[in-house]
Amino acid sequence: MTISITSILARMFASATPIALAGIGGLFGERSGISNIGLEGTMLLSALAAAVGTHFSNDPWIGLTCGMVCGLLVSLLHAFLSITVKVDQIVIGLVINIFSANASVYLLSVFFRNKGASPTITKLPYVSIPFLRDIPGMSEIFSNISVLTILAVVIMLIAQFLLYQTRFGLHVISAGQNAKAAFVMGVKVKRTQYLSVLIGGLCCGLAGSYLSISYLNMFVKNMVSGRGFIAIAAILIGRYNPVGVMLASLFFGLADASQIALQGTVSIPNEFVQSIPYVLTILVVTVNEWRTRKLSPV
Amino acid sequence: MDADMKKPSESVTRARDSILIVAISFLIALFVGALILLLQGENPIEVYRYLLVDPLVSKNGLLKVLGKATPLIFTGLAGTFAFRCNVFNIGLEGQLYAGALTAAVLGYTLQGLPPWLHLSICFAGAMITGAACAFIPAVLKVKFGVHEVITTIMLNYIISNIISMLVINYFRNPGETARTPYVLDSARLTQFKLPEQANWGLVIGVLLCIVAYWVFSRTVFGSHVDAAGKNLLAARYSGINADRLVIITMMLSGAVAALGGLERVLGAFGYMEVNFSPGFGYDGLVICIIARMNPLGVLIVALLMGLMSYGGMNLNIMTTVPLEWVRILTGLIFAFVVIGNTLLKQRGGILFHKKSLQAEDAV
Repeated sequence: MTISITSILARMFASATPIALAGIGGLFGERSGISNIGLEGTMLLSALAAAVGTHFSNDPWIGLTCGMVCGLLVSLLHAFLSITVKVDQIVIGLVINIFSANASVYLLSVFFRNKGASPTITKLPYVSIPFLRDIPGMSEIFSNISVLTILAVVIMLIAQFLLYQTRFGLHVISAGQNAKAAFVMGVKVKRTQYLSVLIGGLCCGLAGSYLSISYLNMFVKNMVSGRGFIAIAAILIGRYNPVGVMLASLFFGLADASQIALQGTVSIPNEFVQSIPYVLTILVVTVNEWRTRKLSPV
Repeated sequence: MDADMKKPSESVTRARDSILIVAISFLIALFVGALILLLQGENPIEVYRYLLVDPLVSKNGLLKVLGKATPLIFTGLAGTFAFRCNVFNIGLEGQLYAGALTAAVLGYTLQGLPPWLHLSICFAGAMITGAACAFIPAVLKVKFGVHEVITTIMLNYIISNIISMLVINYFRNPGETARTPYVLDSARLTQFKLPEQANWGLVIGVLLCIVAYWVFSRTVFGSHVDAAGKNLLAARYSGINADRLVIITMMLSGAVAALGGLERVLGAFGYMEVNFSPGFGYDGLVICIIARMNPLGVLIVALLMGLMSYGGMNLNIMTTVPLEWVRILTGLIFAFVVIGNTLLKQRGGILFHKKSLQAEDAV
């Protein structure tokens, strides 16, 4: 098998999309002071919701809506428990991840009478972008691209604007930096945090739906396989900034694309090749934290 | 003043509150579970009889429950060691697999050893591998400030890949797809009664829980771990080497999780199979949080989980309720206990907030 650079780039965009969507949404919660390690579980349940919605309506757009609503509901639960009830944020993330993993298998057997995967379903459309597809050598990438990949770029731009150019963005940042000071200055801290977590949930809904009705054409048990945590890594590496998170996601996308391309073409076992994205995540996060420590005054 | 004198000691109140919270959460979860069953057109009373009562009335059933609970005792205890020090070791699953493979390989390759020596080598090997797997995230946390949640999860995927590579390419039993040969008799943990899986690993697990309880309640090391877990900065100022504690507790946690894998391999199955664990590591996290990081509580909760695990299989055979429904029930109990614990910590909880707290509460 020959490996062409454009096919790797095309795969890079495909693999980066769910990480970018979840990461850019998730950074709002982080910025407002609410960590969400439940991104993984939120994506998993949304992926299932999107598959169920698509299967029973035969319309992937209705499936996408189901996925988004599911993401919102799960993150509403996260917001209620972490902001109102004030459960430890990591513990509540664990609850959501473990509960989602359990619930998805149960719901899979209830809806589809199958414990491993859903039947195949209709995918969201893949489109071709005028002008970009005419760039020499780039046609393979831009003539067949998921609508959600394009949406991820749009969301990145919106997020960048929302965070740095609007009053809401200022409130998010101030709530995260010093909640009490923000409260005294008249920021509605809890409302801001709720909205931030819900933005994350909505984007996780998109990310999960992407996996089941665009990247693949079915829901598979445990199909998120660590992408939610890689999205958290992307948030850290991207310095809590939408464009940065997008760049970090592209890096992880590239790692995943090279992993897929390397399988079977090199003489090292596939299991090692498959581990590349996970090893890189640990390495990159370590270097990132180490640099942050060195830069920040003690 | 008199009323104060009569108050029971803090640890007794804590234990009583914990038991109360778990009991209430369990009942609410059963109620919600019953609603789900009614939606599916099942009879909840019959389902709960198969789930919770049937396994306990026969001797074989009891043994099966104990067998199912044993790995959970180990992983629950493993979680406790790290969580006490406020380190979230989500890598229990990977550490369990690493220990299982080491035990299996040492168990079938070393020939002609007396059982006590062979078993000791297997135990040492498994514990070292598990501790080594936990050492990586611990050092990254202490030296570079990398959060252990990301590293341990990533390591779970990496370890799982490496383990299946090793089993399939190097330690495969000829003729099988993805499992090792049977371990030698000298490395087996004897089962109480075939074929119910309960074995001497259970006794070891119970003893470990008792030792851990003693360590946490009676030793200087235990009190240092608790101090570092509750307030890292204060612990540092009082001269506790918190970095070293993080590394030690993580390695202990990994070693105990590895014993959970060893117990399955040397006790229950006799061989190691790729993907044998239905999530013992993740269940361990659930158990230690429900038990509020109390080793004796871990024992009780693990037995309850064992009951539900075997009862769930029972249910799957006797009714049309899917096996996974039990996992929903577990998830619900977990969620309710976490909420209950938090409300308790806030003395009175969200329903009874004092007016003066509202400004503080707004942020």
